[in-house]
Amino acid sequence: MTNQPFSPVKRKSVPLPLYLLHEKADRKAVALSLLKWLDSFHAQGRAHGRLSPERLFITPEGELDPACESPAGELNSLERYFFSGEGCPQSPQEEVARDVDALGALLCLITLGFAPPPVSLRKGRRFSEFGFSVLGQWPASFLDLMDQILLRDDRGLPKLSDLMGALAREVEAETETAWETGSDAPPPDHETCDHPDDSSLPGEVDDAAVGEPHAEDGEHGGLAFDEPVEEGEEAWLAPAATDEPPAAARDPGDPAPRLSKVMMKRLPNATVGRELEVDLLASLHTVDFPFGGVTPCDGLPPGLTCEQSVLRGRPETAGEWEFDVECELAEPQPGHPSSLHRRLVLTVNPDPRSLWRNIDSDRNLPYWKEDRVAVCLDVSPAMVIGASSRGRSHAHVGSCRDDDMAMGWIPETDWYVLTVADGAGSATYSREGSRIACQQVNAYLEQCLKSEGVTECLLASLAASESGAWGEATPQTRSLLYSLFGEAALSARKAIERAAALASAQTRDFHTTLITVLAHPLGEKGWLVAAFSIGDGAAGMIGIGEGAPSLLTKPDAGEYAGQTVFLTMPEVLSTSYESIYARISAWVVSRLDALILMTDGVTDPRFDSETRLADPACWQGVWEDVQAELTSASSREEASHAVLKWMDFHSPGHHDDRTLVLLSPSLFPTHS
Amino acid sequence: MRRLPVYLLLDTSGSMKGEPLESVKSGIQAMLGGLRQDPHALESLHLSIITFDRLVKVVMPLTGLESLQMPQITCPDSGPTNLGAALEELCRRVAQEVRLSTGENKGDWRPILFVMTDGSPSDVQLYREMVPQVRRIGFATIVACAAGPKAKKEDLSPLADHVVTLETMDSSGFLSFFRWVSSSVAAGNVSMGATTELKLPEPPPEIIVV
Repeated sequence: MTNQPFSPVKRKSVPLPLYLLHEKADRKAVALSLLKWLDSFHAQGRAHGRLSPERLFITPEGELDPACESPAGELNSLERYFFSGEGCPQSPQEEVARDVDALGALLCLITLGFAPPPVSLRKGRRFSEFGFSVLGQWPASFLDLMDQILLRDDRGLPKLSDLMGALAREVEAETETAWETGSDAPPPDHETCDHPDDSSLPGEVDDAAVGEPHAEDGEHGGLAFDEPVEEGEEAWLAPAATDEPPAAARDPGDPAPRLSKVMMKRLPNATVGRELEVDLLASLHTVDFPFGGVTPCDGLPPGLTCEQSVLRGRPETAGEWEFDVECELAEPQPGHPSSLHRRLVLTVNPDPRSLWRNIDSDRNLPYWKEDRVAVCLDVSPAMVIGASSRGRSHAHVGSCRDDDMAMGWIPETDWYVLTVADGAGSATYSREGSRIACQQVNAYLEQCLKSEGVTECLLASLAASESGAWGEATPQTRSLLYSLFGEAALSARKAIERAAALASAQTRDFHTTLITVLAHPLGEKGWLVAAFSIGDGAAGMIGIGEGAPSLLTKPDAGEYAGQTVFLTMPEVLSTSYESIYARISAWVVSRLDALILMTDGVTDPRFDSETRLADPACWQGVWEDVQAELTSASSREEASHAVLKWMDFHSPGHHDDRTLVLLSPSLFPTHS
Repeated sequence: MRRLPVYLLLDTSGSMKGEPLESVKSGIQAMLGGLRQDPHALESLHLSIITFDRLVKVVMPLTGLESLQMPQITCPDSGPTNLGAALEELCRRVAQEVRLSTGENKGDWRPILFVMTDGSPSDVQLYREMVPQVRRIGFATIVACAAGPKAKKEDLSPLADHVVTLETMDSSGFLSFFRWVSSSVAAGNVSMGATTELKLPEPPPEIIVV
């Protein structure tokens, strides 16, 4: 019966709710018929989802009308309403759950005459407790199975065959019962039951049928199933039960069913250009239908192939792809189809790299600065180069670089002053904040260090300490560096406050971090290096031998990423002496291969934790990478551009501005 | 890799059944489609959806946008709006899912929270207890959307940094809300880094900032 081809129905079938209103309705026969039909539906490997009782037409014999059924693989008017239209369920488990819910609701309607009790009432209570006397007519074993469906207790779900078995004997015994032409009048408003979705299906209802006034007089109200169809009775019948082929009638202008025609399966998301490998047999596997092989029906998304049921390749185009596959059953049953269709849904993400735009910053913006700069010191004995590049996040929206840098060498005293600063991404004019910070700090320190007195004082006191470590520096050194760095930072902040006042803005609109490092060669003894920092980013020494750490600064970080402190925060410089001392470090190192200052745009992707930031090997790694980039350079200028190019490395999720300042005594040592 | 965790708390109480919920779902779907076109979001955005009615359901634990698939969201026929219980679950999830910086690991970006309700909390006592706990998490921003005429915006103001109202609960209203959510998320991606409060983009006219 289930595989009968569609034929127009001439008998007087009625929708299930209407059928059930009849006193003589054979509820058990209906239940059995529905169970059989669902069983055959499942046997085709399909899920039905929500079942709308109004769309189930019942013959006078209490059987599901064959018009409701369809040959395997096709979809008739009724079937389309089984799909809830809520899109594709996510997993076979969810599909099963939805089918079971639908079955429970339907059986509840048939046995009790109303929709299933709300979950809150159902919980822990047996199905029979909700019933009325009608329940007595049902076999106890059937009611017990109903409990399992509705209560979802630990007994698990019953099989459809069990439910059918529990009903079959009873129904067979009653099949002899003939239908009588009922005199029971159906409720006068039965018309509304006929076709509950009239409004949503314009044009398909026969005008004559709807307009017939006969129903009001009640005389035709009997369920005169055996009588031939007469004109006046058409109103009893839903349009599906007329000569009009319903499938054809409902095809146009009803897009929803087409989506549900084939059972859909969503595959894990893919990304353009990234290798994809999905075992379709495993993805489509269900307990009921082990498949032996999966082959694509038509085209696959570009870049993908399917061999031996494995989908693989690198997707070329982003989007939501849907494609059909044919699944051969591993153990085909006689009388059932040997293969099933499945529709696969695949989301292909674009390659994030392809989405980044590079929009030049607007030169008319206040405090505009170049997107990319590379600079070097020409005359200093040791090579000093710096590069600063706008991050992708700024380039994407055409905003300015927020980082800045400054470097200087003082010929009189052979001091190097190096500074980098990172303007806060969320502050409007932070690009100017970082520029002022770098310029002002360098100017102040260069001015101070021109004085022979300061240099002598610093050298004398540091040389006096045994290890050359800041922690053991004399009070004189400490207070000297304290005032040097402290005053430099304070002068920078004052300069920023003045700039903010001029721009009628707040100081916080200029939020910036600051890292500044002083270095002085000591001939045979090596180098004296002192550093000061507020905020994130880092400065480090490479090739210094034993005794001193690589990391010169202590980055300020919060519990979440991106939380840091800024030079421009009032509390940073107005707290205790100790907290400012804690920002300073100074070392005498016997040798020095390189000194590197980086903003967090470089440190975050290169050092993924504070532990690694403190690891000299990681600093060595960065230095080796940079050196490799410098091999082709033949001058300091070229070296600075090589560093700029190196900083374009791609690291997912890291698109901040990048700035790196490098001092190396060994590379390009003389003025080129 | 640093993640931007975004939590979406959705009211699925009985009054949302039908068109409102369908509109919310298509709004989220559209939002996801849009975010997939944003390279920032594609690389760092992680989304979690928690629904609340009588029950609180984590319909989607914190998942990266790249692998994220739209979850099933359903609505009971009736029942209370247990926003307090939802906040309780939220605190548990954040403690479990959001990574804080340690010596060994870089933390996530500060999380963002969106709450959408069309009523007022039924579990008032619990709601009041949970508000300060949620505030202590340190969300970069908390946006509450009071949708429809029955939503009580004054109940939401202790919880949220920004309370917005949505007059109509139809698809265009929700669509513009979620479009705004996604642009806020995109803004969050670039403007993180300061300790100052996250600046939200200008909302569309359908959304009224309270």
